[in-house]
Amino acid sequence: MKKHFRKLAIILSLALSVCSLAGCGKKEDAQKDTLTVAFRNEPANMDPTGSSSLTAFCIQFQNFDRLIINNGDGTYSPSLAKEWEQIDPLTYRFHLQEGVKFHDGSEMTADDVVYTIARAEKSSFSSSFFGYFNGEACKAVDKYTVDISTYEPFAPFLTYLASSRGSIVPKAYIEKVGDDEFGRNPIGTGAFKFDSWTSGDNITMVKNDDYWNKDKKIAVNKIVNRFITDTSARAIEIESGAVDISLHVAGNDAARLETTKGVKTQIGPSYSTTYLRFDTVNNDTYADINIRKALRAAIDMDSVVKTVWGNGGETAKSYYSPVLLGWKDVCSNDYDEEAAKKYLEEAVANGFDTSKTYTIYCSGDSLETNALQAFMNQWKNVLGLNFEMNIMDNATLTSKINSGTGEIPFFISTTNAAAGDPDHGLFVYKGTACTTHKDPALFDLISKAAAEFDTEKRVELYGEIQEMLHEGCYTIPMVNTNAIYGLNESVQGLETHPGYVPDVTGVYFE
Amino acid sequence: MSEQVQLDKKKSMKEEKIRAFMKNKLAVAGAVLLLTMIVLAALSPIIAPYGFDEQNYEIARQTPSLQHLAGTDELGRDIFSRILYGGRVSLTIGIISVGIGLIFGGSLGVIAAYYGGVTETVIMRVIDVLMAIPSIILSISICAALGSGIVNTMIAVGISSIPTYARVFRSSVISEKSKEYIEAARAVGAGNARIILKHILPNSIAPVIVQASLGVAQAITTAASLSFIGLGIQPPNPEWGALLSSGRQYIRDFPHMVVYPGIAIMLTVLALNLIGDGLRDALDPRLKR
Amino acid sequence: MYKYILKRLIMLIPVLIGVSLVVFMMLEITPGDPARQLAGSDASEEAVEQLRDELGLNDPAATRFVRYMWNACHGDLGTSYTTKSPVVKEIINRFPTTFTLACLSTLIAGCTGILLEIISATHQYSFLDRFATLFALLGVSMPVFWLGMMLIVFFSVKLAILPSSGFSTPLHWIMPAVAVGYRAAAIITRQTRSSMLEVIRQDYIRTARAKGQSEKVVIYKHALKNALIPVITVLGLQFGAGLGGAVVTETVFSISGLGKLMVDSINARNYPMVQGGVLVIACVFTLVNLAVDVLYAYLDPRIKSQYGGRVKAKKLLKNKNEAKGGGER
Repeated sequence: MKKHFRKLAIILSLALSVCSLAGCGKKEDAQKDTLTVAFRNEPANMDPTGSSSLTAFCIQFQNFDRLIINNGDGTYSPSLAKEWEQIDPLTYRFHLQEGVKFHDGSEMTADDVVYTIARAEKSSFSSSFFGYFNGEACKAVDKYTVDISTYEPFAPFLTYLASSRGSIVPKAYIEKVGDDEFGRNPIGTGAFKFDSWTSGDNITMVKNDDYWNKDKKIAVNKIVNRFITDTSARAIEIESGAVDISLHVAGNDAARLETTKGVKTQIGPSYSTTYLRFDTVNNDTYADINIRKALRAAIDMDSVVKTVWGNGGETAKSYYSPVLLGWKDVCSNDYDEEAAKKYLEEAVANGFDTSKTYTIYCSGDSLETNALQAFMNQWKNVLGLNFEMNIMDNATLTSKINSGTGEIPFFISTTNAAAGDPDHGLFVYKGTACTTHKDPALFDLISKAAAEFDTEKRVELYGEIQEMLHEGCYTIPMVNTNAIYGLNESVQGLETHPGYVPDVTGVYFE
Repeated sequence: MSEQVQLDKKKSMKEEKIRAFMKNKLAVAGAVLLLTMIVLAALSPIIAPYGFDEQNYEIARQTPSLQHLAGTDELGRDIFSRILYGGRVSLTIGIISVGIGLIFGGSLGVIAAYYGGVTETVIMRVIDVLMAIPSIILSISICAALGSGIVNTMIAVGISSIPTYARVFRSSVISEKSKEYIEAARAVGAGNARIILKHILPNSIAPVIVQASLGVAQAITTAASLSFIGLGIQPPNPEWGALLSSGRQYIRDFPHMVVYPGIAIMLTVLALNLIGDGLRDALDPRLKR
Repeated sequence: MYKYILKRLIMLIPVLIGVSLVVFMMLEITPGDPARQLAGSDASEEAVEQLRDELGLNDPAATRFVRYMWNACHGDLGTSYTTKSPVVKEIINRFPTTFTLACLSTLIAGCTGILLEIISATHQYSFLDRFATLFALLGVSMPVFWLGMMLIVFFSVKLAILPSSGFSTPLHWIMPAVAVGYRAAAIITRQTRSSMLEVIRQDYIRTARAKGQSEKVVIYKHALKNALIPVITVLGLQFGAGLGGAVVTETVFSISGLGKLMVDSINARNYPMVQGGVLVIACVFTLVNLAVDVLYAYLDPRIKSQYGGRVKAKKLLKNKNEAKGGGER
């Protein structure tokens, strides 16, 4: 038997050494002309209006172009459109670049733009953006000039056009192969061409040598977009050098990455806000404003956010992210235990039952559940109220919330104003069929602010809106999570996008 | 043989089996360990140094110390206390799930074996279908369908163990069924129910007990796996698998959050396995496969 | 023998239909609307309804089930709701990963298990034997995902020599395979240790020894071969179970294999994927069981020679199945 044992040992050690050599080899050549990016999920398809996945949007930035680029400070730069002007309150006229080729060689013209807008208006995934655009009224004035119209005056016009949902798509190709095939084999005008899609693992893009924008410097030949769903695994891949850029890094991982050699982090505010929300339309439990105010006042939001999110987020002081236009701090003084108890007394006087156990719903995100546990603890200690958590998967939770049956009176939700406009951030408060509170004055004010083109006036209106939201106490804002990117030290040229849709095409190594 | 002699024979056989179990040192060790865990879990409100949901943000994520034997978790709760309280949840789930499996699976197995024929074929085919799906996937689907929570988890784990118990009961009953004393009982005019309950079941119980004790271990592990994936138990319930799941993201910097709950699971399952082995050796040497 | 195999293969069909039915019924009672999930929370109700129509979700249950089975017979398992690509294609993409993991872990389990078994049988009650027993006991007591996490803590975090996620290079394979393989090895060791002991007590071993055969020959030529038969059974089962989805292991190591695909699909209410996936897994599982049974029948000379006497052979197989039924997965 000893003989066998020895043989086994030799074989095993040989195998291991081969493995480690293979493992080493892989790492060396990964860095030079290939950029590897890690995302937290896999998109369903690559159609700009075919999903609401942030991962998809980011990859679409590599594959497609839009008419204009959002500089993030309220100004816009030309992209596929070299100039534009507003010709009436409802319409902008765009003058397109000439000689822009799609990846299949055909030329981009105004017809493609008209097709793109009309298509975006009808798609269920982009209707929150492009529902305002009047696809039928858009017309191609000539081969390189196009008029785009909206139904009503709409201030976020340019912002939405600059988002990845406004990516210009090839009319002829889509009409030929159909939406589904287009979603799997996308063709655009972007700096990178679609190369391959390994389901469950990655989407690879290769450099487009015929890219129309000769001014833009493209430093890499290939981008491998990997999907790594596990948060700590994403951080670990950055550390080991297997990945160059990692999106959605957790707060505690970020602290460690900062001190790791060869790795750096970029942290910036994001457009997203997480909050507790009440459904007072379909359910009476929290109809009395006093109980809502009591629950809000009993929470020490600062310490909960600090403990649970660390530097992964900042306490939310208003109803959308502070980087958006018109943000105003309205929630700073909400924590007040005495006031909370007083509000509870009022609520009890109006019939609120303190002996029942109430349920709060969430979708299982671990940080959110931790925060909920902290809240439940504080509500118990300060108000003597008993809560229990009910975790449902996202699919079930979303359907039930939007079903209008009132099954879910109190839950956690997150809004990501991906478009970068406060109007998108206020989507939840607007007065659609799925809105969970009744406040006609609020709805009107939000519509008014969306139609106001004058920036100063708009800021004023949004200030009023935030005050109204604070008074109405329909939601309790929790945290503005930070956009944390983990980067390899040699990566340069990446701008932290608050909407988690960074443009990686300008990245280079040093 | 006279009835008195028969009774004596039975009693001494039982004593013999118990004695055989006691002789097995490992089995006894297992029993002691399990008893300890059960006592600790039952007495947790008294012995636990802190409440299971006592949060203290200042001391979050601390490594083990004298005040906190297993350290603290992300909200500053004492992990040792949570493990103690979690024992109640995990052990309850283990036992009740197996109970569900035993009752429903057992009934199916006994009915199939006793009545034979078409009934048997139909039931066993259904069992085959259930066994063709890996049990973890079956329990995940059931959990997804029913929702999370302790009761639903017990049902899910219980249902996925039904095929096992059905099979065990069936094989036991089949081997008993053909024995002479059953024929004798039937000749005397005993009804089916009486035969099953009074004669067949007590004699078939040996392999079932073995399977059940191993089954509790498996149920605890399955429930932990379900919570680990995110189904199963709701926070702040400190079920062991849920503790592992929430500690997982801190595995690099604060591994203590996953080490100790895992040890708790391991010790409990170990104890149950030792007992199961001991029972198997003691009850029927033929079962030593 | 071939008739038996053929009969079992034909039996596969009703089992698969049964599996489909069970999965279908479970998906029916699972709450959550895939159309709403796909459309996103900010889509309008009309958009969601339109999507629901497109996906065929508004037809009555019976219609949908029959349509599904009809397509399945033609090799079309439907289209994934989330990626819009054929379910078959998605499964084929993930299958090699899980297959590799199952093979590797079975290999580890087999080698380790047999080694330990030989040790126990030949050096009964020695230190090695006790070590093997302890090793096996720990193996079945440790939850696989916890073992996986401990391996990560030790090898990825503390020693930093092994990668902790993914499955791309052989280096990535080591920890997941060990995590799954250790448990399988433990199960094999436990279930066959007693079989080996039983074999050694047999008369024919005593005869061999009496004849003057060296201990080595006795062990290898006579005892081992016979004791190996149950090992193969268990190995086959573990392989099947591994294929079925070392679900939790794949989650711990972020491996995109079949098991993880199943969990993700269930959570996303991706009905066609769940149905197709479970169907394929059940099919492979059943086939592996059949192969194991056939192998067992082939290897065990008692059954092989009995193939004329079908009744006895079936009984032996049934007993083996009952024993299997109580086994661990």
